[in-house]
Amino acid sequence: MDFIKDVINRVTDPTISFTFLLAVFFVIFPPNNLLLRLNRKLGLDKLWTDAGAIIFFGLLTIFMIFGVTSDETFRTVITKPDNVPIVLLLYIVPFLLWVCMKQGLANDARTLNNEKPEEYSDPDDLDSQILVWPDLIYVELIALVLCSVVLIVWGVLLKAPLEEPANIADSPNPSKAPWYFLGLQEMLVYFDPWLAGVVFPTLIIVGLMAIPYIDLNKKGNGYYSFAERKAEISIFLFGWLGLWVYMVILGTFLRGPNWNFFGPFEKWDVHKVLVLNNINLSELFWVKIGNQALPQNILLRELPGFVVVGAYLLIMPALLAKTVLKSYVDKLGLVRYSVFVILLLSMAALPIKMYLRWTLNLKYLIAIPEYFLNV
Amino acid sequence: MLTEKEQKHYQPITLNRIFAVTSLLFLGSLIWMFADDHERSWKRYQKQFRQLESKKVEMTYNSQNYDNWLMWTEDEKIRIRAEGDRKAAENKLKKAKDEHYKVDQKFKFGKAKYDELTYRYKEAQAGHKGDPAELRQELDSFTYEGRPLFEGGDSWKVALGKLEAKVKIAENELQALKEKEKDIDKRFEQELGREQILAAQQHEKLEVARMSMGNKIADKIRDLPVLDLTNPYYRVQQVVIDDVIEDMNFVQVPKVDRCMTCHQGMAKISFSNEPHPYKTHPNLDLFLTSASPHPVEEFGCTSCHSGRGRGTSFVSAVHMPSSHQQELDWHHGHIGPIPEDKWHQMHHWPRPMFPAKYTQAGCFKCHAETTDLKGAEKLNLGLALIERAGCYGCHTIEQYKSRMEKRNIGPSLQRVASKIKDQDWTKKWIKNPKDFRHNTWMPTFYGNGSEDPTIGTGRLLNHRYQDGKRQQDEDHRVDTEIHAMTHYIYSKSDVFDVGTIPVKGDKEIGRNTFQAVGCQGCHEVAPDPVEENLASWSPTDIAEKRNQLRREYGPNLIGIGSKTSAEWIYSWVKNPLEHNPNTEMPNLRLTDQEAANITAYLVSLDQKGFEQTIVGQYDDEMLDTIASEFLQGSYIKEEIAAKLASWDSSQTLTYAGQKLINHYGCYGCHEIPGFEDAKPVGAELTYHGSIMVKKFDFGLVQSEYTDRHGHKHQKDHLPHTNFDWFTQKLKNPRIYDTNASVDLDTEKLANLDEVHVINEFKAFQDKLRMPNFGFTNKEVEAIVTALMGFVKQEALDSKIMPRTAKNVFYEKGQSIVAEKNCQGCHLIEDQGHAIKPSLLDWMMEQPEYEDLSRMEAKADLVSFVPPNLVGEGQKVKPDWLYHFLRQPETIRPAVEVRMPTYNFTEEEINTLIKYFSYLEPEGEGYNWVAVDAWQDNAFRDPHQLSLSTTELTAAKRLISKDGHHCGQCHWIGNQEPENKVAKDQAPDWVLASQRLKPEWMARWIANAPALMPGTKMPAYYDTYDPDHPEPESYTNTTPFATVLGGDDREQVRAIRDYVLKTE
Repeated sequence: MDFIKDVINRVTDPTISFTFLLAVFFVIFPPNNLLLRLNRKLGLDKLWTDAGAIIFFGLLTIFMIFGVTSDETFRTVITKPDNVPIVLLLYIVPFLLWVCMKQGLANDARTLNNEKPEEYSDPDDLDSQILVWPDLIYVELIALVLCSVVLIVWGVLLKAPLEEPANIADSPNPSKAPWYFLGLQEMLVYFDPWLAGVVFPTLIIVGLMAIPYIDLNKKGNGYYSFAERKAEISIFLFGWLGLWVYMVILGTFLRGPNWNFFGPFEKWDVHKVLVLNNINLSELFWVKIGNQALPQNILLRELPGFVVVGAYLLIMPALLAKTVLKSYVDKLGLVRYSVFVILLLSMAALPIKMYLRWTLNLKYLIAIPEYFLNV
Repeated sequence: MLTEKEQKHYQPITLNRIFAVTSLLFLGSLIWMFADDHERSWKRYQKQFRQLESKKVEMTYNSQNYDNWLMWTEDEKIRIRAEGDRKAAENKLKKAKDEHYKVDQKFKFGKAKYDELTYRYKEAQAGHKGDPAELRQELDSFTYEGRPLFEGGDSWKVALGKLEAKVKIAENELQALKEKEKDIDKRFEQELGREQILAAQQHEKLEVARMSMGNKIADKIRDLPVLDLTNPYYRVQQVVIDDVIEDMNFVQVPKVDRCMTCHQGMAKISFSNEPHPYKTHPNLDLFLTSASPHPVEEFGCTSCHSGRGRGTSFVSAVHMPSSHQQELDWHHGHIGPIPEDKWHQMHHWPRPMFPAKYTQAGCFKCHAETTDLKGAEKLNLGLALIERAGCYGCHTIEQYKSRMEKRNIGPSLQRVASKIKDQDWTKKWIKNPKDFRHNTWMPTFYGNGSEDPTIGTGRLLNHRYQDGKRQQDEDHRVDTEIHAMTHYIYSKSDVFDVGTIPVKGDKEIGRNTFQAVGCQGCHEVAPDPVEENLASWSPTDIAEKRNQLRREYGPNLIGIGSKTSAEWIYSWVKNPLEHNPNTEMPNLRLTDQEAANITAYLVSLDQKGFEQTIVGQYDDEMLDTIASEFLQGSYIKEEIAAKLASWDSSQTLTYAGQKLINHYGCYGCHEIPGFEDAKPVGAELTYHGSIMVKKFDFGLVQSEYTDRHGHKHQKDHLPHTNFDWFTQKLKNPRIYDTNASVDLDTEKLANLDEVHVINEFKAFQDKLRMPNFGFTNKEVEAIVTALMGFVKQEALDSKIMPRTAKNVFYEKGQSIVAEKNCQGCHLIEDQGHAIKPSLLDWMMEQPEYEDLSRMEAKADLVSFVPPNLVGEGQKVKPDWLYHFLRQPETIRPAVEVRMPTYNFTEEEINTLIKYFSYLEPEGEGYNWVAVDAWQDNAFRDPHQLSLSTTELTAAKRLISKDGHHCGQCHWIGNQEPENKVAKDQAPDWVLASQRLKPEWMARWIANAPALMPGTKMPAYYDTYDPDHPEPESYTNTTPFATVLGGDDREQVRAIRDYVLKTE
């Protein structure tokens, strides 16, 4: 038992679990035909069948029951009133994903047979319609009432988790943001607040708004489909599942006192001490490699950082345009491509930074605390 | 194309069904929500309280009798109303009213129309709309309803008036008949009495069964959900106190206390035997009621008790258990008369309630200046213990700062070499002072954790290591440390020439003198330890315990002969100030012979030596280790080695000794050369009660307890409360460096034999260093009470004792009284006379009392004890008191115990004079002369008094043998009283004119026992009262009816003035 717990504690560590996620994600949601073939070869599309769902949710439930019954920390964390939404999220997000993927794959199969997608009420008539009442409004009304019931029952059963009066001299440890911001808070581990708290959230919102203008693929409009929108779905889901939901779950269940990582079966020890000897790129370059003290001149000192960041944001788009994303330049045109690639690179910056931290203990690429500018 | 039916994706009938089901679910959840919101635990308490109150009210009156009489009343009334003339009168009134109404309405309507017409006519006349002539005509032809009355020559007002009069007459007639009903009511009241009726009315409000049907329904409806927003019976009761602030860090909100929502019987005296939460407050004289100094409307509950006043459930009010057993009970829901939510400490509230046993902690934040707070005996004891133990020597405590600046609590070590010649004695003393003197206040710094029989727990645990080698080193280290510190204090000690003893002393006489002159007000000679000397928390037991502390004010003198020399003792008792100008030891003005005798006696107290303590030799290696630990902060390894090599062992000893004294903070209690400006070594305690619990280091101390089923449980920590931390810290000050496990049921260590230091990585300087005072459990509880009271001020100035001159001098005076240990000998504010038991011991050894039992001898004790100072400020003249405090003089020549000469400052004397003058004799409302007004008093100069010849003769007659026979007891100048027994002799009259206030004297002569219960002076004029004019009915109490007209006042005045003129 303890062995199993220990193994789970180890593999949930972000270095392992995120790497694993990164490794399997693009096989499960293949963005191109090559990976799609691998997906089919491995039979991963079985995931979206009824049996796949039963196995997935069965395993998840067994894991939860195992954890709650056998471990006090796990029980405490899972049953905390604040964390109820995240427990729900563990089920709801995969379920909705499963519904979409299942229907998408079904439609893909129909498309292969030259049939119309299921959503068409009259498969022969592309312009066929259904009535707003009762098919839309009535169902929404029922959903509304049911949601109210759930919220009321929730509200009665679990009292609002209020805490002590805010006190500068005594902040809670760990200090956690509301669950929907835990992804942002997790980013703070890797980025300076102005990036993680201001720039990235802005980019996320702007990026989401820009999707309709960048995504020129008209297929999949009004019906579920995976094969027709492989890359779009894969990129979006990577951001949503990998960089948001995963971070929320990590932040909720696996971040304990002092924002240290704790496995699901590890006691939240306030006194846990971890080595956090992080260094900036300038130190890596000048001190570790160059064997000399940091230059006085800030610009000179941070030159390696400027070079790396500059290369990433300026040379990388051009390089990608010539190679991997060549087809996108043709498809989107230069302006759309530029916006797209900057958003894409910003998104990719998070996992890149995570790995730089884990491998090189890198704190910042550019560190100018004198002017509160750290990248 | 599809048909319309097929166009629908869902079947409406299916959706309808789903909708119906969800709607029902929704309705159900709403009802649940209301029910859940409506059901509160406090309502259950209020319901039960209502039943309880109803039962109590029911017991105060006879409901059967009341109901019978009520029925009788109603029957009578019905009978009366049915009588013939009553009916006739009612009919008459109705008729008159009908007639009046009809006529009145007719006129009113007609007049309204007429007025409107008139208005229009006038408008037309003024040239506005309409034709005047036409309107005039219309007006003239207007047939006014009731015009006939006009034409009949009667104005309508008169007509109405007549009708009104008719109504009035009919009303009066009816009223007269109704008076009969009032007689019935009167009879009802007479038969039952006011109280019975009030009780019955109250009962009707409480008891549903006794309500009318309408009230029964209303009683149900008013508490229904939603409807209960108007005027429910069951409601949250609260007080809002604007000037007591709840500090929420970013915002300050007024205190709101809702405690009385459940504690409904708090201010009702009849609930004193009920269980909580209905129980009456145990001290309504001081709290809650509007007549008390702390009415609930102004102070609330949590201002004193702490806790979350806004909470309306047991848990959310943050109640705290007094013991672990209680905590377990609460935790299982066994809380009170109602099934409650299981208790857990609501950690989100930073100021939990004080557990009941620490309640008095709440007094301190407003009464911080008071040394002796009436009604807070446990707190007083705690403060007295803090003072006696000298906690403020190492821990800065703002309230004790002035005390700290004045002097150290322990003896000065400036001249220790002259006092204690034997360095071995000093070393053993440092190692284990309690081995020499069981009740010394010098705490123990070293110890191996063995069980202490008097307190039943281990002492000082962090010198025990698991590793045998380490333990050996540690033992060795202890001895070396002691050598180093002893070396330091002796090498820095001044020499004081104690001289020689000029006369030979007698041990036995010395013993008698020692007991008689008053040494035992501050010193004991108590060879044997006593077990826990505080039997219970009753005020009398606490007072006795405090007297014990007063007797221990100076050291217990057992074994003094083996500690120091006869010459030193002689020179010290002769003049302590010469040794140390800061000492609290006063000068008893002993003659050379007396001093020599006492010295002989004290030197003979040498049987007590050290039985267990052995201090081994030190070696240079260990000494170097110790020294290098201190050097490490400033030097690198090579430099340290060089330094140590260059020092000889004396230098190293001095260096290490100095650093060790600095480390342990010895200078907190002792004056030590070289540490004059050193800062206190401990944490500041001024606001220790306010410190967040998470700032306390609980270390790795564990705990265990036994549940109700006898099962043992282990916990990996102590309960996280400040009082648990304080308690263990005081019992075993270095516990938080060890692996100790506390048995929560007994509060002792469960693993005493296995306790050892676990934090071995801690550097020596970082280890806990507080010594062990060996406090008993009760002492710890009292000290923790005080510590919990040391909180940051939350109340505004309006709630603190007003800073009037009276209060300020009262507090300052109390402080001096405590500092000089006046109550060791005197009774002040009903506290003290600590010397009494030892004086009784002394009496029992006197030949006169040989044949008497202790109880019999006790009756005479009053003749030998130092005076009760009740009313002293009203008794003696300020000028006299000033001189007396400077240079005491003999007042009762027969009494051997004497007032010593203190080294009072001018300010202290003046404070004491004012303090005494502000101390009114309790329970009396005399119009005393204020101390400031005394200077202008006519009696200041006794020569101004004049006695007429008649008065002089009368006075002589009154004091003579045939009168009150004053000469029997009183000295009059050199004339000795007829009563030759020393104990029965009274003060000399000659002193009176200088010493006593004439106003006081008059009262004293008239009725001495009223001023000082227990005095031997009889009451001669019982009813004498100079402050109020004599009432008509006054009867003189003098037995000498012929003297001065048999007037009490005249006689008293004559005697008083006669005494004042005696020279």
